[in-house]
Amino acid sequence: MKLADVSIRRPVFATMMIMSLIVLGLFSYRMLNVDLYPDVDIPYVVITTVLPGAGPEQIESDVTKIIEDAVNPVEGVDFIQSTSQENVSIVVIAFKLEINGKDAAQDVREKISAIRADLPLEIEDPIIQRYDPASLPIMYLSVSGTMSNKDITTFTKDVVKKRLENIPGVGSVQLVGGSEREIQIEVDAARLRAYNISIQDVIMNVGGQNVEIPGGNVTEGSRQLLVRTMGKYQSVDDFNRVIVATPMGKPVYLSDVATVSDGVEEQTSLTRVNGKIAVGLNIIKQSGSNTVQVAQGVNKQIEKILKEIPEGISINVAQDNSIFIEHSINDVLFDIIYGGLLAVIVIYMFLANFRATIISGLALPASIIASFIVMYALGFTLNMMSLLALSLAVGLLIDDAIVVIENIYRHMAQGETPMEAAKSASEEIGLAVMATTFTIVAVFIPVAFMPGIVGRFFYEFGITISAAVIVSLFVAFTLTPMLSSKWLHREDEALSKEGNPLNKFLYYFNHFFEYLNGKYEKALRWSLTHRKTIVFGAIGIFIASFFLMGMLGSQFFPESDKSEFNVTINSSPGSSLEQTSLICEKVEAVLKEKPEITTVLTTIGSGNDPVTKANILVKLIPTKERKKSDKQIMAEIRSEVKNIAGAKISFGVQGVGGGGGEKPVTLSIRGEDLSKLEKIAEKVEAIVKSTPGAVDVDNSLELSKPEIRINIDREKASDLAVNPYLIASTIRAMVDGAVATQYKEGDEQIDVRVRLKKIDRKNLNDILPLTIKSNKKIGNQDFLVPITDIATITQDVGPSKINRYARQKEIRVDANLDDRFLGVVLGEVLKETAKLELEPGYSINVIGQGEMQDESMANMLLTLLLAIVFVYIVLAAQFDSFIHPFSIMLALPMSIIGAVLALIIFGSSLSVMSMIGIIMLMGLVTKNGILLVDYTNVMRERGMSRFDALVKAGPTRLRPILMTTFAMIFGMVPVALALGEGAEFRAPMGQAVIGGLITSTLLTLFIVPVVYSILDDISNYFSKNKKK
Amino acid sequence: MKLTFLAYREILDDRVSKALDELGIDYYTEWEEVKGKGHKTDAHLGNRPFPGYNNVRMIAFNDEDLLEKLIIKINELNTIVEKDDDKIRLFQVPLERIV
Repeated sequence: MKLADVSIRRPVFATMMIMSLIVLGLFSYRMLNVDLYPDVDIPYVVITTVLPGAGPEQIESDVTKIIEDAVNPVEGVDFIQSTSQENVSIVVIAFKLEINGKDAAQDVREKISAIRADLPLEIEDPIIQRYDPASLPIMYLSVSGTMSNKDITTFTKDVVKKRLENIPGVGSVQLVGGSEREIQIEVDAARLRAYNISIQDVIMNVGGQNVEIPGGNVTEGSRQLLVRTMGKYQSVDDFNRVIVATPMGKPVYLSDVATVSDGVEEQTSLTRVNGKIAVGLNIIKQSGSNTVQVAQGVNKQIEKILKEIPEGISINVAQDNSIFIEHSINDVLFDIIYGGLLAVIVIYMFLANFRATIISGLALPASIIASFIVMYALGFTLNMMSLLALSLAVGLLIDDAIVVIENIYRHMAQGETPMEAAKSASEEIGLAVMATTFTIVAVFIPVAFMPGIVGRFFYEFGITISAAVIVSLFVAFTLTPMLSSKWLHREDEALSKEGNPLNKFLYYFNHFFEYLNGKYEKALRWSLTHRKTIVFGAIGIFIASFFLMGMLGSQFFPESDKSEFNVTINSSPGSSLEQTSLICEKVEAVLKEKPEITTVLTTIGSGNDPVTKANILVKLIPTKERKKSDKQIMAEIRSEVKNIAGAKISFGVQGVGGGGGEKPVTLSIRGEDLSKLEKIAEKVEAIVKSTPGAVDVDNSLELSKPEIRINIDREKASDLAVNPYLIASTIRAMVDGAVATQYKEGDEQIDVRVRLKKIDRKNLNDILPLTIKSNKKIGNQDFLVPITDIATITQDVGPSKINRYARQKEIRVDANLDDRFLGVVLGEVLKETAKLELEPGYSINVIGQGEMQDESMANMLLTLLLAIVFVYIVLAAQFDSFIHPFSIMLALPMSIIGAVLALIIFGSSLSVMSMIGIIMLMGLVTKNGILLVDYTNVMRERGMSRFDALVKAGPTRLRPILMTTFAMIFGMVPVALALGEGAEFRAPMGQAVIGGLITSTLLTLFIVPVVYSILDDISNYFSKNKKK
Repeated sequence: MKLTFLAYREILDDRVSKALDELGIDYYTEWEEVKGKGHKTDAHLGNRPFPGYNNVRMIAFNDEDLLEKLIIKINELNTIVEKDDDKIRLFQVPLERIV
C-alpha cells in the first residue's frame, strides 16, 4: 500500500495533505448556502391568463383550449393540466424532467406570442412563469393597526415594502390583502338614461382628456425649448369638469351623471392574523441567496422600522421558513454529533485504548469537513438532503479507519512495533477497505442518478455520501496508519480488572468478546459441516421477509409533524368575500380555543383565488412542548368544524419541496362530457368515503354558480349596427367597471375606475334599458340602442370551475388520511373503482402522491437492481474473481428481513425514505462478507486448507465486523429515533438500515463461509471436468 | 578481508542505517525491495498473502574489529525485535580482493 507507506515515512507530508483538505473544507463550509431542500429544477411552466368578467365555460373555450392546443406540440411536454374559473385560465405544462425549465418557458413564450391574435382582445397579457420552488415566499409578514385599511396599505406599500426590498438577498416583496387607493367614478344609471349617454362615452372622455404629449422642440435664438401639452388631471376634483357628451351642443359634465371619489378598490382579498385585519407581505428571496441570512436581514430591518413607525401600527412575522430550516439543520447536526460520539464510544469499548479511539475518531471530522469541498464545488447547499447524507454517513466514515486500526492493533499484539504494524496491517487490509468503500460508492451513485423527481432530490444526497466515504478511505490510508505508527504504544494494550469502573467494564467486555469469539468459532465449524441446513435456513428467512413485507403499509414520503398545518375553506359558489370571511371567523373561533395553536393566519382570495376560497395557516407550539400530535389536533378541529354550514373545509400539511396543495389520495376522473363525469365522480366519492382511513373526502366539481346570461340577438344587433363586442364590453364596464385612465399624484399612479353605482349594479332592470352606441347615425346625432332591444336575459347555472388534464375534462376526488397508510387506502379504493363500468373514453386515474409513489417505487427498484449489479462489478474487479462476489453478496437478501422487521416494530411504512435505506444496505452489508472472504483468500494463499482458512478468518475478522456494524448502528440511532422537529421524515431510513445491519451481520457470519465453500466446490468440480 | 550481507525487513532500514552511522561505516551497497524467505520464517514477497519486502546491504571489511562491533550492534538490535520473522540476518563470507 504505497499511500500508507509514504504517509508513515513522511508524516509531515501526510498531515499537510489532510490539513489542506480540512482548511479547504472549512473555507467551503463558510461559502455554502443554507436551504431547506436542494435546488431542483422542476420543469413546470404555468400560463395565467386573465379575461375579466368571463365565466368558466367561456374561459375554457376561448382561452384554455386555444393555449392547450398551442403548447401541446412543444418538445418534451409530459402532460398539460388546466383550470378555467371565473376571470382566470391557468394552464400548467409539465415537461419531462430532462428538459431545462428555462428553455421550456422560452419555447412556451414563443408559442403563446404566435397565437396571441387568436385569443380574445380583452385578455390581459398572459403571464408565463417557470415553476421555481426557490421563488416561493420564505417569510410572511403582517402589518396591522388601528388606522384605516387604506392608510395601512399605503404605509405598507410606501415604507415597509420599499425598505424590505433593499435588503441584500431579497428578490421581491408582494403585497397581499389590503386596500389599494382608487379614483372611483360611479355613474348614475338613471341620469345616463335621461341624458341618453352611453357608459362608453364616459370611459372614452375620462381617458381621452387625461393627456400629456410631448410637442417637439422649438428653437428660440440660441436656446432649444421642449414643448409639452399638459392635459393631465391635477386634482381629483378635475374629473368633475370633464365633458362626457354634448347632446344638442349643450355640454354634459361628469358631475352631472356621476360622483367622483378618492376611495379604495373593491376588496377581493382579505388577510387576518390572529383575528385582526392586516396587510400581508410575502418576502421572496433572490435565486441562490441564503434563506437564513435573508430572514435575519428582514428581521433586523423590521426592528429598525418598528422604532420609526407611527403609533398604532404593528408588524408581525406570521411565518418564517428560516426557523424551520434552522431547526431542521440543527437537528441533523445533532444527529451527526451524537451519532459520531456514539460510534466513537463503540470503538473505545472494543479497542479499550484512548489513542486508538482518537486516531480512528479523527477520520470522522476530517471526512465530513473535506466533503464540504465537493459540495461547494458542485454548487450544493446545506439542506435536509445533503445533511441527511452526512448524518447517515457518520457510522460509515469511521469504518475504514476502524478496520485499518483494528488490524494494526492485531499486528501489534503479535509482536510488531507500531511502525511495523501500521505498515504491514495497512498493506494486508488495503484491498478489503477499498472494496468496502467502493461498494458503498457503487450503491450511492445510482441513487444520485435515479430517474424521476425523487431522484432529483436525492442527487445531492448520493454525491455527498459518496464524496464523504471516498475521503474517509483516503484518511484511512494516510492519517490513520501515520498516527498509529507514531502514537500507539504496545504497553497501552494491557487491560486490568483492577482500577476504576470503566477499566473493569472494558476488561469484562473484552473478555466477553473473547468468549463470544470462541463460541462463534465452534458454531462456524458446525455450520461448515452442516451446509444444507444453513443454506435452506437462509432461503427460508429470505422468503419470510417477503411475507413480512406484505404486512408493511406504503406511502410516498413519511409524514412528519412540522408544527403547522393548513385549513382550506371553499365557501359555496356565489358567496361574497364577507360571507367567506364569516365562515372563516367561525373556524378561527374554534382554533382560538386550542392552547397548542400560536398563530392563525387567514387569507381569502389571495393570488388568483376567487373570494370563495380561503386558507388558514395554523402554527403550533413546538412538538416537545405539547402532548398532542398535529394529526390529533387536526382530528379534533375537524370534528368541531364539521357542522359549520356553507363551506367545504379540509386540512393539509406542507409536503416535500414546499408543495401542500394536493391531498394524499387524489383520483382524476377524465372524459369529455361533464355530466357523465359527475355521475362517475359521485360513485368514486362514495367509494372513497366508505374506505376506512380516508377523511376530508371531496371532489373538485364545485356546486354550480348562478349566472345571468345576456343572450345577444345577432340579427337584431346587426340590423341596428351594434357590435356584439361592444355589447359585452359595455356590460362589463357597467358591472365590473373599466379602468379609464390613471391619475398621477407624486410618484403614485392610481387607477381611475368607471362603473355603475353600487345600487344600480344590484338591479338588472336598471341596467338593461341602458343604451349602447350604434355605428349608425341619425343625422349628426349618435344612434343609441337600449340593450333590451338586442338581447334577452335568462338566469342559469354554470360550473364554477372546469378542470382539464391531458386535454380532457376532469373531476378530481381527493381525501386526506387518518392513521392509515396511502398504499393501503389507495389499494382498497382502486379495488372498488375497478368494479365500476365506464364508457369508452372515460377513465379513473391515480394522480398526486399515489402516482408519484408508484413511479418512484419503480425507479427505486431499478436503482436497487443497478446498485446490486454495480456492487458485483466492483467486487469481481477487486477480488479478480467471478465467483467470490456471489458469496459476499449473499448478505444482501439477509438484510431485507431485518429492515422490514425494524420498520414494523417502529410502525413505519415502505416509503421513499425506507427504500433508500434498503438500497443503502446493499452497500453496507457487503462489508462483512468482504472482510471474511478477503482474509480467507489470504490464508489459503499462505497454504492453509479451505476449511482451516474459513475457521481462522471468521474469528479473526469478527472483531472488526462487530466494531464497524455497531459503529454504524449507533451512528444512526439518533436518526432512527426521530428526536428533532420533523425528524419523522428521515427516521425510517435509519430504522431500515439498523434492522438490516443486525440481521445481515448475524446471518452472514455463517452463511458467507458456507456459501464460499459450496461455490468453491462447484468451481473445483468444473475445473476438474475441464481438465478431463 | 570479509564481505557481509545484511538482510532485514525494509521497515528496519532506519535502525540499520543508524547502527552503521554510529560505527562510522559509510560504505555499503544496498538493494531495496528484494523478496525472500528465511529458515522457518514467513516469506516477504510483496504480495497480499506475504506482504512486505526485505532490504539487503553488502559491506566489505578490511578491519575485522569493526565487523565484530557491527555484529554486536546487530545482536543488540535483534533483542528489540520480537518476531523471529523480523530479526536482522548477517551473512559473512571471506573476501579475496578489492580492486
